[in-house]
Amino acid sequence: MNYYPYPNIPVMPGTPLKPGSSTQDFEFQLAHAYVPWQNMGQVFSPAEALTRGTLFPELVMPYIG
Amino acid sequence: MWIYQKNLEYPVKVCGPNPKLAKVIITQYGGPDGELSASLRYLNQRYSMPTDKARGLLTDIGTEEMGHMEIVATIFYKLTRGVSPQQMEAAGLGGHYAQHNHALFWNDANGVPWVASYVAATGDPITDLTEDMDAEQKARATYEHLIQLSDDPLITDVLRFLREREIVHFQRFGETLNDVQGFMNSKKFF
Repeated sequence: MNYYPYPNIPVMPGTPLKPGSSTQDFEFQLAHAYVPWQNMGQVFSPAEALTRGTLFPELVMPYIG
Repeated sequence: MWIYQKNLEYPVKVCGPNPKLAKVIITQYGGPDGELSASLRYLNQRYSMPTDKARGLLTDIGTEEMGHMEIVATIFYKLTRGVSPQQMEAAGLGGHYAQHNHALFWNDANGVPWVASYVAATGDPITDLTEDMDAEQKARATYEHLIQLSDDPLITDVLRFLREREIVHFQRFGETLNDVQGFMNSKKFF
């Protein structure tokens, strides 16, 4: 299970910033929902991705009854 | 416009006829949190999304959900193939047999037919994307209930695949919500 450092900035990675600002200037707003951005990393082979239901190891979250 | 492939997204094998399991799995065909609801919801909401990326995502996921509807249909078909009317009746599918024989129909596990009110389209992209995330969680929970009910390991394997896809879709809808919220905020300031 991956945990993301807080705050995981909910703007798209690589988004150009306004002059003089940094991503740290982002402020979460109350009454808004955010999901951490997934960054492209290692991926499964096509065969393993089909077996697991995802190409991305960090999204493998199997159901444990 | 769609291009189709003649194979399922994930292959469906069954251990044998199992009308009792078919009766509950049909809810992912035509129940409130099933694949018909999912595909129609996304393919309809895409028109009122504010960015090309959001429209593209809804088209992609809506298309995949149609593929999932095909998988669930195949499961029901295979689990009821060759099953006698008496066996259908004993499994609680007597009503289904009376109305549909071995055909499929969009209803839930209790035979309640699909209705359009299972899906929403408010025209507000934040609201609609939040509903989509909610829909993915409801589908994930339903697949977990079906995994609990399944006594066919080959079907459980397919249900696990479909459940994992809901998790991936939730991540994508969440990222799109981040994106659309940013887009809506930028419109306020510039």
